[in-house]
Amino acid sequence: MKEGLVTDPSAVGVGTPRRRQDAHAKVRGEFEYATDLSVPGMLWGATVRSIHPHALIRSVNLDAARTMPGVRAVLGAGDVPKNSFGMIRSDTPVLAEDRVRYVGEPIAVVAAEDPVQARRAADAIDVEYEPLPAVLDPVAALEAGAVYRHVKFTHGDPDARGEVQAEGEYVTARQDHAFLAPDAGIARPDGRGGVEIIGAAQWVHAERPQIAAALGLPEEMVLVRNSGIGGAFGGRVSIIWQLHGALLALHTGRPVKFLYTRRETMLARYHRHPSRIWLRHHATPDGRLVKVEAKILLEDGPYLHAAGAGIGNSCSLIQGPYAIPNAVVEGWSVATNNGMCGSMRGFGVVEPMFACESNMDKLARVLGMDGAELRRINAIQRGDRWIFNQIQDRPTPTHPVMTTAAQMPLPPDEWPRHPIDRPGGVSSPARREYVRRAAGFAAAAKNVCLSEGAPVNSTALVSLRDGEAVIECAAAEVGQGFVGAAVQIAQSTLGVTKVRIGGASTAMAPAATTDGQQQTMTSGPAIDRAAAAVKAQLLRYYGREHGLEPTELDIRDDYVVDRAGQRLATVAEAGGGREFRATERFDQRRTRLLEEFDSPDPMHVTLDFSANRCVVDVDCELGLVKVVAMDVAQDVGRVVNPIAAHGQITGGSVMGMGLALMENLQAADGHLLNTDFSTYLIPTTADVPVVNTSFIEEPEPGISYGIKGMGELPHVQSPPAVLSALRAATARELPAAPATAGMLAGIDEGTPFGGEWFRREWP
Amino acid sequence: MSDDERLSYTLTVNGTERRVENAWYFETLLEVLRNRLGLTGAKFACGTGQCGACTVHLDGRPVNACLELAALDEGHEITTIEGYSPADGSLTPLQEAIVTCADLQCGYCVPGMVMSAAALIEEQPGAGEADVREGLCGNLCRCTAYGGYVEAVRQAAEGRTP
Repeated sequence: MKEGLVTDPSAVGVGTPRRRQDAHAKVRGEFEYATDLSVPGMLWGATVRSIHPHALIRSVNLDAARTMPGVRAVLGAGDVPKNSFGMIRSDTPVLAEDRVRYVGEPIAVVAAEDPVQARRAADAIDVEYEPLPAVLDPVAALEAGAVYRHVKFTHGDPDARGEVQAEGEYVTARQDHAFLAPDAGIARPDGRGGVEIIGAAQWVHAERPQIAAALGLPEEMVLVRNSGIGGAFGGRVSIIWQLHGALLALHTGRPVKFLYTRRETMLARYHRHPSRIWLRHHATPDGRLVKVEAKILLEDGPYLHAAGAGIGNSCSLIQGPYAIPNAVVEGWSVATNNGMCGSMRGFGVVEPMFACESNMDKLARVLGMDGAELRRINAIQRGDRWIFNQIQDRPTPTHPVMTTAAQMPLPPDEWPRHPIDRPGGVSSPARREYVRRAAGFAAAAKNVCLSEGAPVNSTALVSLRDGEAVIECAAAEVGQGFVGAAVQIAQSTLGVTKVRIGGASTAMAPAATTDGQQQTMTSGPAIDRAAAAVKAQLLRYYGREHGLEPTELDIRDDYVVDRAGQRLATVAEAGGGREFRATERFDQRRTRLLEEFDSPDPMHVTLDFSANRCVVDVDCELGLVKVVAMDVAQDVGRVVNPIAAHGQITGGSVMGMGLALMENLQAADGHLLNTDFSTYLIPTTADVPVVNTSFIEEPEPGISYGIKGMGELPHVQSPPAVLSALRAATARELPAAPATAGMLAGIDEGTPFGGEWFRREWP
Repeated sequence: MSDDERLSYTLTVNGTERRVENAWYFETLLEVLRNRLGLTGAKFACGTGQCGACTVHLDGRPVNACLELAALDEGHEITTIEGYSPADGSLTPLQEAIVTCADLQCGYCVPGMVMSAAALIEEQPGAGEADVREGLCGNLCRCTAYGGYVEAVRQAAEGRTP
């Protein structure tokens, strides 16, 4: 915990450590999440899923299920009006018809009076398959040309050479979002032929058109709204159960609830793509970067989802937070049958930043330089040109983040009294004489907001009546703290303390997706503008009523005040019972595709920067690790709520530590092997280090209060920082995340993938 | 309906006798609490006893409700987060410490975290920081780095009542 950082229930406005408005309900167990939803007369849904990674469907026999106790509907592909959906390309079947392409792909759905009856009916559905050869190896997929997007570009002089070179090949594993609340929600008929979907979505406005199209309904007959969301991390941007629920609700005329099991949540949904990256840095003998060369392979699933955006991010940000005059970059996003891949916190950037920073460690060793110093002298600065031909024209505190992280106090180097703090934890056989303390360092850059031409805008409505303001904004609160930030922004702009915000729904004007660390810096300005307009309305009204110039008036601490700060009336009195309302839209600047080098538009709206000095204890004989501390400095624009900012940075850093040490959703023969929390491990209280944070505040121009997105970068910066420390402790190459005990002890030279496709030649 | 798979029984939940009619004999305590008794404070997250989100007290001891067969809990005192939380809508000192210290985010783990921590404090008054981390390692949180929770529970354990 950051020293003295506690919530203040009476805090108001931007910059204060405000308590979450939902904290009280959450800590009493009263906050309603999508999993908790219940309405009278509701049925329960269940799903039949493919057991093959690739197969033809010979037949699906739904009849046996139809006559089972409690069953009210059994639907297959033939029951879907238009059997496809997809956010970017409508290529994903709602229910598989003649072919399945991954284990877990939905084939049929059932609604019954009770969850057990629904499950039993689903299990009674007989699917006859004809298995086909599956593509299980991304290199084979590349050879076969199963490519969603191929990116190839050069920057500067592609033939430039540095006297000193370092090259390496790096891999990262398939990572699951592992949000705690499984996929769940209710679909119900609206009584007018349409359907209402209540669930947990990062972007309700993206779901509605896909659902409407597949149902053959006009969009206005589909309402999508959010219940409480139990974590997201990029995992709730795709439709999962929503269309199945809507179909069953429309067929039965009754509400239908879906509640996935943990295994189903892992099978049915997409994951962070496994990556393989080859990288060569060229530098001068004194450590100036001359060129970067890279080949990047991202594994994606059998349907597009957001594959193109991921590889675009990867190829652009292989550069890291450094100025590099020359580059040769090529990347591919390929299709396999190992389950779906897609967006996850740090989408497409966790992988290249791991490779970039790992190779920077190697370059530092070759040069005989301190890693932090190598990074500092190459740090990109305002005015520099990125390899994707964009001028870095926004605040660029690369030096402050690097210097601050490197100079934060080191933790005491002593053998821990409590065994939980030793490598391997409470029952660890770690022995003090084999434990080595070491520090590592990594820096990172991440694009903020969706890039490459994706729409990034939000509309918000603010109303004010009787001294109380209400915000309507369809931005999803997934836990990141947007609702709190929204209230703080409205408080600061309006000068009133009582501000409420409702949940998101498609009955509101569209807001940005909670993705790409863009929500607060995109919906925030819309709220600020609407609040400012409302304030102007109220002051105009009050001025007219009292013969005062509105420009001579202001609102402060719930009072209308004059120039001298003299209180004239409460805001409630001043409004005379009237309601003042304003709707405003905010658009981030337009972006272009990576390849559109000649466009005047940037590829990324803006970028943020951070650095992490990580300290580890490693039993080098046994490969056991304790991450002792992480000291993280991050460029945050301006902090809205220091508690929330600290939470994003520390939580994201620990999630990144999960990828660095333990998280690996393994596939074998197209089947995901470890789909529960005893085999897919995420960090616990026993694993976590002390995470100290330092905010570097350089306000983002053109954005209300100088806010800048910050939620993804911690996860990007942390895996290479942990690995850097582990390399320093073990003197091993460690080219893969997660680094297992076997790799750390040098008894296993494998990779998270068993080494096969990692070792094969690039085609 | 195959009646031989159904059972009726009475559970003592938060001090009240609650009748459960015609439940499947294999229903877990978590399913009965959430789906039949309308007590959704204990969260369903993994269903296999690996995350602690469904922690309730059985005769004062913390258990994963997803691993308990509800029918076998007849005659035992079951306390859920609804029963633990003060009836007047306020917070216990432990809950107050959590909302003050913890950088609470999605909050899905919180009810389970509270129930585990309350039992921990009961068992180990004055538990230190490392004890708290050991005691809470069965409660997964995906949003935070746990630091605020640990500090909150340590403070609550420091001579105060849970």
